[in-house]
Amino acid sequence: MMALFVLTFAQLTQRRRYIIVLLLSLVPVLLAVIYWFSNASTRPDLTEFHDVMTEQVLNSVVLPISALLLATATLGDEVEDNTLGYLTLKPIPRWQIVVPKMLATVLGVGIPVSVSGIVMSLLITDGDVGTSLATGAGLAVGSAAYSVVFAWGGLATRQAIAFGLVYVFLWEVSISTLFSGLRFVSIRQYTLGVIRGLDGSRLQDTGGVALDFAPALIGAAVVVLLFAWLTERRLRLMDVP
Amino acid sequence: MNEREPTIRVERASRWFGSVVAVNDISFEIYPGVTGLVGPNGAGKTTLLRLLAGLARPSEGEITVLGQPVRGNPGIYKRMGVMTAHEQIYSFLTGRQFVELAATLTGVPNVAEATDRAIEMVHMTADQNRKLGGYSRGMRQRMRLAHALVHDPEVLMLDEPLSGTDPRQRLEFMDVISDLAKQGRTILISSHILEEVESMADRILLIVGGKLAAAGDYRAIRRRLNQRPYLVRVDCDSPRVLAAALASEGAVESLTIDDDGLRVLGTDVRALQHAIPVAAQASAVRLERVQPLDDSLESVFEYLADGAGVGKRVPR
Repeated sequence: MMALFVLTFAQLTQRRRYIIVLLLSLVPVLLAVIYWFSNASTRPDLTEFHDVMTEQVLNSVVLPISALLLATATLGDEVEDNTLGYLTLKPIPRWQIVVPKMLATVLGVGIPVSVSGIVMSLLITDGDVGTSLATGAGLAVGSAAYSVVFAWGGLATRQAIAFGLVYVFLWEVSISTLFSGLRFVSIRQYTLGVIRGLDGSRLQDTGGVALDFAPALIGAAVVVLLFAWLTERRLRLMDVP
Repeated sequence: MNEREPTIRVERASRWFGSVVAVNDISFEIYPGVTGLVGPNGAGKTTLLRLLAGLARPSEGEITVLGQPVRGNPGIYKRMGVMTAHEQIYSFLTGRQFVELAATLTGVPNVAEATDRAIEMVHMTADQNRKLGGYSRGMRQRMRLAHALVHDPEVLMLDEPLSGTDPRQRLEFMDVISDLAKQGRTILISSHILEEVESMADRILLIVGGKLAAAGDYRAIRRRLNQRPYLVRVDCDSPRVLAAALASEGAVESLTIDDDGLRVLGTDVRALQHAIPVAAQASAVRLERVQPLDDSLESVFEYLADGAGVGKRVPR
């Protein structure tokens, strides 16, 4: 499985998309630097700015878009480039293709996004390590969930990017915040739930739809397992181009 | 497996995509040695090869390789190597890394040794550490072959393997195939160029319009091809003189002279190919051009498909 992990990581990080992901991850850090250097009397309240950056910038834009750009390519590009046969024509069960590819994707997305969250938090909170690590951990959980969903999307449809954009902005950013019951089926809420849980609820529950730590982690785990299984099933049943 | 058992067995396999039938009720068996899968473009060769490789599911029928179902049975690829028609590769890998990847994924005990051997077999040792993206088409094809055979498979399926290779590479490639066949392997090679496969294959499967037009010894099939109607246009300085000279030839069925020159319809390809220059020389006619008018592979295959070829099997 290590060979496929290395292959996938190399595939993902050598694409132009990865530069976009790195640039996206730099945005929160740059905003935090600007915040740090701006006049204390004119800048927003520290807690409020940290919450806005975490919820609206990192969790609603940087994380899902980074995952969308990379994860849809994990298997989608193998189909598009007609290279999937090099993997499926080998004596390995399909899950041994899916697991290393998913792991490489999660790391490919999770490392820049989580590091971005940690550095941003350190800058805004003036070195609050607990909050920064909580932000990083929550984003890592979100990276895992989004990556697996979008990796499945890349295999299931040739319009994976469009599917992902509609999903992120219609479901995650808009509909899932309408009432509290929907928080159980929102990766965005899982991410925020983990951050709040690890950070002692420092992150404010602006919409009143916050998830606790345990359901957030369980929800994310269910999404990862469900979509990893769906991906394996799709790979097993589909005609490989 | 019993030696009398076929390596590949296809029983009434069909595959359709919506209303398009790509492979239509095909049955055949393949034994060790080289078998050519030949047919014009769009005949269904690649679809059939994908069914045989387990990449696609037949809509109907059964396919077994080495006595096992091939679809949904990844374990079979330990004994099978497949080179698909797609020439895309992981361009960021070196040729060696690409072959090593195959060796690792197929569970070869000594990856380095197997990689060396496979690369040596396709004569790519000198260029093995270059990136695949910088290879010529022929070099990529050879590395793809090394990727398919690094685990020493009993069965090799190669879809249009000679595509993009130059004449020297073709000869080398044919030597490799010939060596592998001598080792008792079962090799299936698809091509739309009959002559290309003839030089390697002991047996041929002819596919036309998704159907099996003929199967068996290529010499027997070649005989059938030579006995088909054959229309040629002859450009010369005296068409009427040449027509008179050819009129008595047994291989000539009809002669037509029009503004385009002389058209000769024969019933035996080889006899006609011999008769025209001989008649021209005997009657002191200067030949300018002899052009077959229906010698495309499509017409050859259509002849076989429309004639008695379809459904009939040439004995092995």
